[in-house]
Amino acid sequence: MTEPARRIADYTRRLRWSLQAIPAEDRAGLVREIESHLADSLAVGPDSLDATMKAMGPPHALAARYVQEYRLAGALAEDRPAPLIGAMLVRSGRSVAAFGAVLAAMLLYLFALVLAAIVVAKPLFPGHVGLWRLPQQSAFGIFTDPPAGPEMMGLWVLPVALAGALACYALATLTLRRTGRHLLRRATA
Amino acid sequence: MDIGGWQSQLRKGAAELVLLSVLSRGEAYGLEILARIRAGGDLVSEGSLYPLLARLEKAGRITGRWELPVEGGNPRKYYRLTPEGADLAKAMTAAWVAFRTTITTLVEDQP
Repeated sequence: MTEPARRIADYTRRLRWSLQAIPAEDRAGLVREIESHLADSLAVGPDSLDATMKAMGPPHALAARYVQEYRLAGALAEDRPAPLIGAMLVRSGRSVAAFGAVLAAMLLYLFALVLAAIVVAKPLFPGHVGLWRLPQQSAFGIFTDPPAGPEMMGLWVLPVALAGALACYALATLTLRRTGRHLLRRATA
Repeated sequence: MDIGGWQSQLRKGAAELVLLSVLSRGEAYGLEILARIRAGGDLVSEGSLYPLLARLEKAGRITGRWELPVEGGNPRKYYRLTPEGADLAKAMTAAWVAFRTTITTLVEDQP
């Protein structure tokens, strides 16, 4: 293997390694395209290969651009929370908006989870789930040792908690999508 | 004032429109796309072109196919606009023309 050919092999190997976040079948195509471009540049001359590698940037930097744009676009199309959070976390180190959106969405997903647990637990442990009004403060949720006194909501806790869970889930996903689109518009190229 | 940062933002905003416009002239692979863009100015680099192509393909704006050149050499991925991509290119071009007219009026036609 000649020296320039080794440089191309080294570059694409590092690029492939850095693109782990992208599905294998897509990853192979992305790397093959870059390899083809580098080989065409080398065919023009060693200086052309140098200029192309400089314009592409280090393999990890090129991979980061792929991963960010690709995951964000892919996640937005899928609308599932996990890829959205993953894509936003990649950016949250550099963007206050992304960091805030991820934090807010995580909290909202947590609320949704707690409210969903209330819906599941109420029919199983009716005496341990609900709303109690106490002299000092009110208590709402699931209790192993429920407060003394009458429970206020009864079975009404089911629709209320279910609506709350769905609202928190929708709001969290909306927050991620809105911020995702905003970031995507800012970082098109 | 950091004019370089502002210019970089301008380039980023224009890159998608430029790429779609270039592909509206016909199918092309990465190096050809860069050559077409560079014929008009240095707007997009190798480092930003390929991630942008990947995103536009993922979003269904463009579609790619692999082909081995008849003269031999490496396989090349040729891209062309999808009908959605062509519609987007038209809409973005119309928006750009309106934007350019506004900016020209506000910035360049000052007495």
